[in-house]
Amino acid sequence: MNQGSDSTWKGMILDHYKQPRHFRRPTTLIAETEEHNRTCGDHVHIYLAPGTTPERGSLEFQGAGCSLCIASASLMCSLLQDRSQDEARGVLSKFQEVWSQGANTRDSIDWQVIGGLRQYPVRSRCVRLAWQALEKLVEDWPR
Amino acid sequence: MLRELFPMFARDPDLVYLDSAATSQKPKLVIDRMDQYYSFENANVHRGVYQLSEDATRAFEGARSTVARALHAADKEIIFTRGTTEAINLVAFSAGQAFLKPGDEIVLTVAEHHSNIVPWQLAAERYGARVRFIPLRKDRRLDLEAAQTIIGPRTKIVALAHISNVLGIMHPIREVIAMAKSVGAITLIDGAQGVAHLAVDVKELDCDFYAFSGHKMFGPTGIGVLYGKAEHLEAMPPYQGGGDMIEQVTLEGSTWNVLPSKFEAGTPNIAGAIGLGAAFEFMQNLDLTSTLAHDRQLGFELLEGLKEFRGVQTFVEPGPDWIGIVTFAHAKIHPHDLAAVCDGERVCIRAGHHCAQPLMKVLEVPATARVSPFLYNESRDIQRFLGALRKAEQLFL
Repeated sequence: MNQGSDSTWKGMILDHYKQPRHFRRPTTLIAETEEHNRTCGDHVHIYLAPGTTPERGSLEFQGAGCSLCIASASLMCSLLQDRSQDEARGVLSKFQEVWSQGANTRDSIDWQVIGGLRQYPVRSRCVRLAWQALEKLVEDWPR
Repeated sequence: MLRELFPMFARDPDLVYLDSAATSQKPKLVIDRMDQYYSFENANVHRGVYQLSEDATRAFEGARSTVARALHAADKEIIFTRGTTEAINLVAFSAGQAFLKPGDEIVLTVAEHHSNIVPWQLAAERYGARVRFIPLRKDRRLDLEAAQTIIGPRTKIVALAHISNVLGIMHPIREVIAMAKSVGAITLIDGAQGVAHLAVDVKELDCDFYAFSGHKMFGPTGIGVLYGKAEHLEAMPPYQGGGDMIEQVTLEGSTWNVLPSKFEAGTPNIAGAIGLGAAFEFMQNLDLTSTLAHDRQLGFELLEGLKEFRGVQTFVEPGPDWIGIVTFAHAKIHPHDLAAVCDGERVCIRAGHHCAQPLMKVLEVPATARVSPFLYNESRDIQRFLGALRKAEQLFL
């Protein structure tokens, strides 16, 4: 399947790109970080906000870039709502596994979409930009 | 029809390839010539005392002579390299060692490809020199008035592209070469795009070095040429050691072979050189004035078609010096997404910084899309691209 086929662009990627989830700066912040891809202009600003308990956190984001960059950030933030630090590390670890090996059929639809992006290796940096930010933020997660 | 000479389009008639500035498609005669070498002529060169090796050597050196004749150079002034990048690195390293002193200046332009910036930055660091840049005017042409003030008594090397891979314009290299000569500086022309579109006479240009790759001018990847005036090449130390570049090796030290071997260490890309020779033979049968006019006509058709799209900004100021490349940005569609939608319509364009990040900064955009028509493209290719752009707008707006 090439990049422009309908199953990709009319699907969840385009939805997450046009209506990104958790696309806001939270009023209360625990930590924040940003990542840029200066070769193409993609940039994401990821915010770590408090969760429902002191040991939990949620991600929000702002940014601009190509559809894969924004959709990836939106999917990531959707997976990291009201999570503990161990769970956040687990999500990051799951991304690394899905990115290197693909998603399996038992994974949630969000992971299936992320796994599907592996077929665009030239856009790898676009997809991974938000997750690079998470690698930094996970150390600031509430405990 | 020229298009029929290219197997890629026979295999895939639906393909719209509009990225020839990145690499050109190959005519059958080039592919066949390399296939013939590997099938029937393969042996190492300059080594074997048997007929097959001598035949391979003759074919390899014959390719060099073909290149030399095409450029109006002597055989010994033609150095085979891996491509333009290696050729420029060779000059930056070796000519830098021979000719640069601390405080000297290397003058480039802000529109250069990274391969004609980074080697000079490395050389400047290595030899204590300073790199300066000629700016562009508002019409995106080289600012020759500024060049007059920048090229001065400290200038030792001036390097610039023959044709910009982003702006698609021919730089005024004759004027810049004259300025460089007036201060005793040597010149290098990055001919990666130039040799694919123009007949190049290095003696008439009177540049000191001219570098280019085979793969943008119908030849294979992995082969390129550095033309250098013999007097400079003689004065420069070798770039890499080993293989054909040696005359004698002892434990105490070594001596160097004559030109051009002095700068051709290791077993060369024999098939690549032979393929490059075939590519020059292919180009000799082209009317480059007509093919350039063809490319420009397609470029004009594209510019006219882009007027339909309100969000599109082009970075092209077409004039007599323009070769038809169109670089542009869409206000609402990221270049990567645009190229991806084009791919879905079987249209190949380039998106990104085009190895010209400083130029992107001058243009005030991080990335752009680029369409580079070539002799095997037709009007329907441009219309297919415009159709893909319409589809991208439907998806993203």
